[in-house]
Amino acid sequence: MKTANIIIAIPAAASALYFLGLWAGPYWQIVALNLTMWIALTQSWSLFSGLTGYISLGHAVAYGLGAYVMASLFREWPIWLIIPTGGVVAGLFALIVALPVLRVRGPYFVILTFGLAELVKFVLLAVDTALGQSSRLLFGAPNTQTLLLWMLALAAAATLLRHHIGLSRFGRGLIAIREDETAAETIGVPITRYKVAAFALSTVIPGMVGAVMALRSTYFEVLQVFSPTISFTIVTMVIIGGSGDARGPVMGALFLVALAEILRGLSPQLYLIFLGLSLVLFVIFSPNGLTGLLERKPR
Amino acid sequence: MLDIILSPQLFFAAAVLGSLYALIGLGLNLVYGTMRLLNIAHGDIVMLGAFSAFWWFTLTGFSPLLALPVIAALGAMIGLCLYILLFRRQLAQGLDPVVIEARSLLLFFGVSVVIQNVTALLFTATPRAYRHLDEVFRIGDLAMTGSRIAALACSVVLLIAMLVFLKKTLFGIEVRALIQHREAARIVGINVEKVQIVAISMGFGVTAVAGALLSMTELITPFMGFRFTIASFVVIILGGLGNIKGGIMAGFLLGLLEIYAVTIFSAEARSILIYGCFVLAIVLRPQGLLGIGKKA
Amino acid sequence: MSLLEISNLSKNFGGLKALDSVTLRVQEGSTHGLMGANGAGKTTLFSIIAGNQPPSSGSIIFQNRRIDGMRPDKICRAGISRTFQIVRPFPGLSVRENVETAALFGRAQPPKQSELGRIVGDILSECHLADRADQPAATLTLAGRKRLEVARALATEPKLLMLDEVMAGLTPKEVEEMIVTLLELKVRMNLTILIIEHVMSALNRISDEITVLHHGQLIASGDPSEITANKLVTEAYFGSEDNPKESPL
Repeated sequence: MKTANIIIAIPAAASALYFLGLWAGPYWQIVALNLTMWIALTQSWSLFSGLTGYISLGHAVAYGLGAYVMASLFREWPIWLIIPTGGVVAGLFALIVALPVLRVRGPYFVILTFGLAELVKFVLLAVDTALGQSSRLLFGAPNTQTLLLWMLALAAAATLLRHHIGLSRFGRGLIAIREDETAAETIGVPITRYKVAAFALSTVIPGMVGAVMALRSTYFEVLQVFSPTISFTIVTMVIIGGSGDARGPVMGALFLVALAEILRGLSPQLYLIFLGLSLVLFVIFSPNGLTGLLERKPR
Repeated sequence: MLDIILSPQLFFAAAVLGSLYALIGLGLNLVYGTMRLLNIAHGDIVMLGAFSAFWWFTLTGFSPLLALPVIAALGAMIGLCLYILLFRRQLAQGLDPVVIEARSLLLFFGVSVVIQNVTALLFTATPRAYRHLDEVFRIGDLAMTGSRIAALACSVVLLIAMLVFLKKTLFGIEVRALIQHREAARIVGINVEKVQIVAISMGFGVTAVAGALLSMTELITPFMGFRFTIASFVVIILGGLGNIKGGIMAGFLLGLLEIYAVTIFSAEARSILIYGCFVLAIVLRPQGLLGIGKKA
Repeated sequence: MSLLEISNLSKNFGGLKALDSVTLRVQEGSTHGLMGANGAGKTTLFSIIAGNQPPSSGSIIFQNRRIDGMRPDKICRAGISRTFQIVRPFPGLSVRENVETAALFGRAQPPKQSELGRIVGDILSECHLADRADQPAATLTLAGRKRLEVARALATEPKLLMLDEVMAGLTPKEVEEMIVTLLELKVRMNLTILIIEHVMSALNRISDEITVLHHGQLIASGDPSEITANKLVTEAYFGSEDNPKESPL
């Protein structure tokens, strides 16, 4: 994928979405908001997991921490400051846990990140209970259009970042780590430093995304923002869309958001059932996702 | 404080929970130990067993204990279906075990979501419970409900039966061989495919029974599975992956830790404890914290 | 002068002594062979030199600098590269990308983007891989993968190249090709080579000096003719007349 194309495509798509949202009304603005949110999340996730092969099922933590930061600082600080702070907090957390967590490989890393996310959720829940706060109310939050603008910026940033890193020397090192970690280290890749850096980097934008999304409803609840469904959806979107380059997450997000819209009238459970089935089908029949399918040359 | 720790009441509660954890862990050991399938849906099988028992009792009025064999068979069939549909081909292809592990993780994740939400769709997410064997028996200070005694008794019996099966019968020995060394088992002529079928059927069957027993003592919801999935992984890692006896001991240990944590601290402590142990166990593995396991 | 000085290097795995006080000097510009039965400790020695494992005791000095216990990627940039006995290509990447990655990370200074193509192209031709440059590494034959291991190691601009059984599994013709390639490369790129090999004819031909390990201990060191004549060595391999052994190879 050419960089020139991306640099044109992203602002074009973003503007199109924004004005479409303005014209089509609040319902579609929310759809656009969701779509861009998932793009921001999946591109960031793919930056780490797609390139290094360490599948994280814990990115809900980054999202949740950002939301928590927003809920806590809402009345104290200006919003434009809280959002990046959410990202920084998420990144710091990732840095702190990175060394022990990244020593574990393969599927164990996957379930470890999942367990870690749940642990953080319950700890924060206990903290909130101890502080006497069960949920928070956020009044006077910006309207959906403003949130959409923020989210478009985050989605664009995440996509550009994923694209750029994928082609950079850093990205090559990450890919080498995925292919064979021992060989990579032997030919000079500083594997620990790179893994930690990519891991932390992949959580910053999701942290900011969480902060923005906390403003969506006036009601903040720990259990919701740290929901494993978020992590699970990210992975499913990238599996379905493909993780080879920056296109995949977009396709996966489009696919599942469209699916959600179609099934919206029916029930949230039905959507999740389709989600699960899609994951199973894609893992079995097309492990490289939609982009893999598109690129498959006839044998 | 001391009288809390030494309370026979708590000990009994710990024994009941621990025996169920031991059973659930045994189920996972059978599936993971033999085929390296990371069953993230394991807790959902517990949930299905629990729901089956609930509906049996609600619809027929008969004791769920009578339905245990049926529920076990149900669990076994689910395991078999998943095996045939999703894993048989991959395992036969002799793919790199790491790849199989990774794929099984994702597949079971999808399966888990489907199971949870189909159940929620059919039965709604309202927590449910039922009353059965409600009479309370007292020995001195110790008050035990009949349902809990029954749950403990059944799980202990089942655990012993499984241990005997694994030790004394030919199938059982073959299962243990497969757990210990896949390639060697194949070379000495063990029909790996058949043993895998036995292992997954028993693993899922035992787990479903644990769920049925659990339903007599706890509220059930379609989403209760997560907690048991994590618990089962804690159990098998603590006890050593594939180590049957280690897993059983770890199950009782976890039950003990959990009951005491909840009593001394709070209900939230339970989740923090389980996930905390989980995280620590994986980071500090692979020998299994009790030091009696094997390397992963 | 000694490029690499290993002094009293030992490695224990629990109760097992994989290496027992090995002392070894590799002269700059030479080809130094390393011989020994399976399990003698040769690959362990390589792993420790390259930093993949730490020693239990002893020291390793490379260009007057202590490197024992250093991280593998740092040792690589310092000028030591190794190949693996069981080859480890990056299977999903092309041959070219494999070599590019090594060039990007293993050199003391990463090359400029404009130079990368030329550097990689040169190495690919030297190793006779240019015609397969854009194939996925996973599709190469064993001989091709061995060449790729060497090419990747070379891309990091090593002063010391460590080759671990690079001829194993090759046909006699392929072995001959590999020997010729190595001799050419050595001259062209000014290499010092430390080579583990079981193919005796190859080892005798290219080595200036040979060291023999047995059960983790150094039992002989000298030029090829001395080693062939050395009684200890032949006993280790074939047993004495009173106590014949099966070939340990």
